[in-house]
Amino acid sequence: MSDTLQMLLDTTTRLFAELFTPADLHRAAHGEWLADKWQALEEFGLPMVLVGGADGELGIDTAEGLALLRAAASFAVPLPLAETVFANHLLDLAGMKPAAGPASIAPVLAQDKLKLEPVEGGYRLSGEAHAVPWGRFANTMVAVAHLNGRPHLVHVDAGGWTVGEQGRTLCGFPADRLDFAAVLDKARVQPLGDELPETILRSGGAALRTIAIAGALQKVLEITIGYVGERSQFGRTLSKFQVIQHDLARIAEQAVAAGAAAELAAEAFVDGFDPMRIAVAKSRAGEAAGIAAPLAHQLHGAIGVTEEYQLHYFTRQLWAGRDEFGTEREWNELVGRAALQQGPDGLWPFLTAL
Amino acid sequence: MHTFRFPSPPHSAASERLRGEVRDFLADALRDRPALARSDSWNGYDAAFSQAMGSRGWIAMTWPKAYGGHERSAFERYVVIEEMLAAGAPVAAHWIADRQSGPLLLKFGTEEQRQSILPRIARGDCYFCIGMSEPDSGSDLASVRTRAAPVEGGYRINGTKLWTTNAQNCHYMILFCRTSGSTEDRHKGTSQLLIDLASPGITINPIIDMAGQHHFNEVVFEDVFAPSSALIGKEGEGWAQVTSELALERSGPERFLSSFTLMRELALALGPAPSEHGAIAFGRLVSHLTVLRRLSRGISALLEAGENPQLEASIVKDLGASFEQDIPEIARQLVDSAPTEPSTQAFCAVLAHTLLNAPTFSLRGGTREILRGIIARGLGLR
Ligand SMILES: Cc1cc2nc3c(=O)[nH]c(=O)nc-3n(C[C@H](O)[C@H](O)[C@H](O)COP(=O)(O)OP(=O)(O)OC[C@H]3O[C@@H](n4cnc5c(N)ncnc54)[C@H](O)[C@@H]3O)c2cc1C
Repeated sequence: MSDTLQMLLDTTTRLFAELFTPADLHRAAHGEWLADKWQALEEFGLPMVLVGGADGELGIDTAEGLALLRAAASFAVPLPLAETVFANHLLDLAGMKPAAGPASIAPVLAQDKLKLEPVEGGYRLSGEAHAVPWGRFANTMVAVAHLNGRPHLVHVDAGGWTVGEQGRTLCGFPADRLDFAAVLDKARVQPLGDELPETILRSGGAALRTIAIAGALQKVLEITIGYVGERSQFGRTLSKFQVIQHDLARIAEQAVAAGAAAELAAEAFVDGFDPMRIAVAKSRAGEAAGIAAPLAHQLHGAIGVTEEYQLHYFTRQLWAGRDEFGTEREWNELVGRAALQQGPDGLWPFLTAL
Repeated sequence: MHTFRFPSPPHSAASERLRGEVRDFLADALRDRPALARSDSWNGYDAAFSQAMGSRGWIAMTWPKAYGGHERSAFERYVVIEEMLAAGAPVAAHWIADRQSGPLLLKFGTEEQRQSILPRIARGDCYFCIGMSEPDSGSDLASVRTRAAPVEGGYRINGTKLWTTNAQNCHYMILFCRTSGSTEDRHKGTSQLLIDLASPGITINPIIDMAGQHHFNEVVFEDVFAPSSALIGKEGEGWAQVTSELALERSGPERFLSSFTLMRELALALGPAPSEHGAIAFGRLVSHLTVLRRLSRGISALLEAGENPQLEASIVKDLGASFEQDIPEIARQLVDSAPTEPSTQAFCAVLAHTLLNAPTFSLRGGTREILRGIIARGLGLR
C-alpha cells in the first residue's frame, strides 16, 4: 500500500467516523437527504477520487481510489458516494467534464434501454430506467443510451428526467424510476469506444457493490467479535464457547473471500471493466454476504435485529448489495456458460487466465 | 484482532512461460492416463514420473543449487504444482518430500542430512512420509507416545504411527516423537528424527480405505535404533519445528484442486450448451475456485517473503475443503448418470471415486475443527 493511500485511508476513516453518527444513519435509512454531510464529502474531494487517476486531485490511482470506497462501506456511508465516483469516472474516461453535486447512473437494470435520436443541434434522449440508485437526489445522470443500435455515454443534468415511482432499497435508500426526456448537445454524447463494454454500467456497478460488500463484511466481523467478547451467559463471555468461536471463524473466512473478490473486481474495473472477472467476484462476494450475515445475527441474539443496534446497517447493506447490479444467479450463469464453452480441455486454461 | 494478510498475487511473465512448458510436458506424459486415474491426483504414485519431473528441474524448485535445488521463485513452484494437480498427474512419490520434508531439512537439518538427502529428493529419487499421527494422538498431536529413548550412539524407538500416507513406497519418515518426559509434558520433550524406513524393527502394515485403496499405513516401531545423526534440529524443539512444517502442509493448492478431475468430467458431461441451471451451478464452482486460487497465490507471496502463513493457510484449507466436498454433491444433481452409458462412464467412475474420498478433505492435514480453532485464535478469541 502506498504512503499516500495509507494517509488518505486514515483521514477518510476519521472523517466517516465523525460525519456519520448512528442518528445520521437512522435519518438516511428513513429517506432523509443529509445535505451537510454530502457537502463535507465534496469538500474533501471524495466524489472526484477516480477522476484523473494518479494525476487527479487526491493523487491516487483508480485501484487506490476504490480502496477508499471499501472503507466507506465499513461506515455504511448513507449517500451516493460510490455512484457519484463512478459517474464522474465514466465522464472522465469519455473525455467529458465531471459534474459537481451528487450523481448517479442509469439504466441499472439489464432490461431497461434508453434511446438517442439525432435532432437539430444534438440528440434527443428518451426512455425509462427503473430502480436508479438515489435517483430523486441526483444532480447529474451518466447514462448509456443507444443511437442506431450503438451504445453511447451520455451526460444529463437535472431537468433531463422526471422522477416516477419512488422505491427504496433494503437499506432504505432511494431506488427510483426515472423518465428521461432531454435534448442534449453533441458534446454531452460520446460513443463508447471499443475498449469499453456496452454493459459498462452493470459491470462497473457490480464491481462497486462487490467492493462495498467486502467493506461491510469486514465491519460485520468486527462488530460481532466485539459483541461476543462483551456479552456473558452461563457465567462466561460468549467468546469462550467453541461453537461461537467456530461460527466467527466462518464469518472471517467469508470476509477473506469477499476481500479477495473485491480486489479481483477492482483489478477488472481498472482493466476496462472486464465482465468475466467482475462476474466471478460479484457472485462470490454475494454468496459470502448470504453466509455471513445470518451467522452474525445468530451470534448477536435478539439485540442484533433491533433498529437501535448498529448491526443492521451493515447486514442490510450486504443483502442489498448482493442483489444490486446482478445476483449470483445472473453472474454465475455468465461465468458458467463461458467456462463450459471452452470444453473440458479449455477449462483449466480459462481458469488460469482469470 | 489479527488482520489476515493476503497480498495480491503478482503477475510474472517468467511464471507464465513456465506454465506453457509444464502444460506441454503434461499433455504428452499423461496422454493415455484415464480419467479415473487422474482423479487420484496427489495419491497417484509413479516413480518414473517423479524422476521425469526431477530431471526437468520441477522438484526442489526454490531450494539452493548447492543442494540440488533450482533457486526459482515460490510463484514458479506454484505454477508447476497447480498444473500437476489440474492435470491429475501422479505426484505422490515426491509430493511430501518436495512440499515439507525437504524444506524442513533445509531449515533445521544437519549439513550431512542436507548433503546426503536433498539432491536425491530433487532428482525425484527419494521419497518421504509424515510420522505425526498415532492411534491415541490425532488432532491432539502434542500427546504423542512414540518414544525415542536416548541410548549409546543414538536412540531406541518404540511406538506406532498411524495413517502414514505412502509409507509403503518411501525411503524415509520424519518422525515426531517424545525424546524425554511424559505425555503430560505436552510439547516439551518432543523431537523430530530422520528415520530410514529400511531399519530393522520397522513393520509397515497397509490400511485399506473404503474406496478399496491402499494409500495410508500403520507403521510399528519395535526397538528400532536410530543414530544420533538422525536428530533433526534440536532435541526437545520438536513442537516448534513440526508447527512450521504444518504451515507448508496446509498452504498449497492441493487443498482445493484435488477434485479438479471431477469438475473437468462435469464440464464434459454438461457440454458447451448447458441448461440454465447447469450453467449457474458450474459458474458458481468456477467463481469459488478463482477466489481460492487468488488467496492461495497470495500465500505463496508470503512464503516468498519468508513469512509463516499458518493462519492464512488455515483459512484457505478450510474454505478449500468445503468447496471440494461440494463438487460431487453438485455434480450428481446436474448429470443424469448411468455407469453403463459410454458417454457418462468416466463421469460416474470419477464421481464415485471423489465421493468416497471427499470425507477426508476436511480431516487430512488438520481437521476442520482444528483449523477453525486456529482461525479463532487469530481473531483473538482464544
Ligand atoms: C487421507 C488421510 C491421510 C493422512 N495422512 C497422514 C500422514 O501421512 N501422516 C500423519 O501423521 N497423519 C496422516 N493423517 C492423519 C490426520 O492428520 C488425522 O486424521 C487428523 O489429524 C485427525 O486425527 P484423528 O483422525 O485421530 O481424529 P480425532 O483427532 O480423533 O478427531 C475426531 C473428530 O473430533 C474432532 N475434534 C478433535 N479434537 C477436537 C477439539 N479440541 N475440538 C473440537 N473438535 C475436535 C475432530 O475435528 C474430528 O472431527 C491422514 C489422514 C487422512 C484422512
